[in-house]
Amino acid sequence: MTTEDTPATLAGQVTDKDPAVGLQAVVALRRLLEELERLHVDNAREQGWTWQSIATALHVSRQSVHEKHASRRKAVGKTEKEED
Amino acid sequence: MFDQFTELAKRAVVSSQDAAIALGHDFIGTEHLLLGLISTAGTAGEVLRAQGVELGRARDETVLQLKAAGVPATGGQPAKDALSGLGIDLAEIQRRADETFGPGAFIFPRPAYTQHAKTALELTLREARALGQTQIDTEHMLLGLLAEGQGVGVSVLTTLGIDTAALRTAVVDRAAAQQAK
Repeated sequence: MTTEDTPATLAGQVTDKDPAVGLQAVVALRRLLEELERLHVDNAREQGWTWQSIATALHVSRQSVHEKHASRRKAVGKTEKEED
Repeated sequence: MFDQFTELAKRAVVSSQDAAIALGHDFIGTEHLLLGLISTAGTAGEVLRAQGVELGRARDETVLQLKAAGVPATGGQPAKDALSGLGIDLAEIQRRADETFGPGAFIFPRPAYTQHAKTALELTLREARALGQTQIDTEHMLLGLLAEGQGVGVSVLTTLGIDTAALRTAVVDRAAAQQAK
């Protein structure tokens, strides 16, 4: 953080009147969120969590979390237990 | 979709992402899929190399074409800047994630597939079925890329002097010959 990054200017980024500034911040945050979800779903699976427990922790359905992550995990050669 | 890919095809997909990141592009296009295929063993890479498509030249041509199109090669710097503007210390997250989960587990910004690349990947299934295969291999990835036809990957091939119709025939013949074995 530089000295100019006061809380007021930080808040300014996400409340800017210019749509380009606000939308860019939203997209960057969404991409960070997606990457963190991927990281922690992988970590949970590697620690033996079932898809159901991951879904419960994320407040989504088992089906949606499985659809989003299971095929991707197989694509990079992560082994998946088929039973859960 | 990727769960029907062979080990080599998966390796080519990972290699495409590596190529995009290495070139500083914040997306994975058909040009990166092509680079992934050239640098991976398997039928697609063999046919491409036999036709004189070298990794170095294809990479240089990719860089040239994207630069000419005004595509930034800044490794997603605007996304990083947007987060640092919100007070998020990405470098620290990266350092700790590498330490806890190993390098490569956390990639920001992770390049996403372009629409052309998505279509090319979706077409791989059709190409595999047409050749009577249940698994998707590198040759089906190359055929999907050629069938999509609109991406920078095809443009790179054309600039390197490749006749894409002849390439398609060569790939199909090669795949048929392998099946006959």
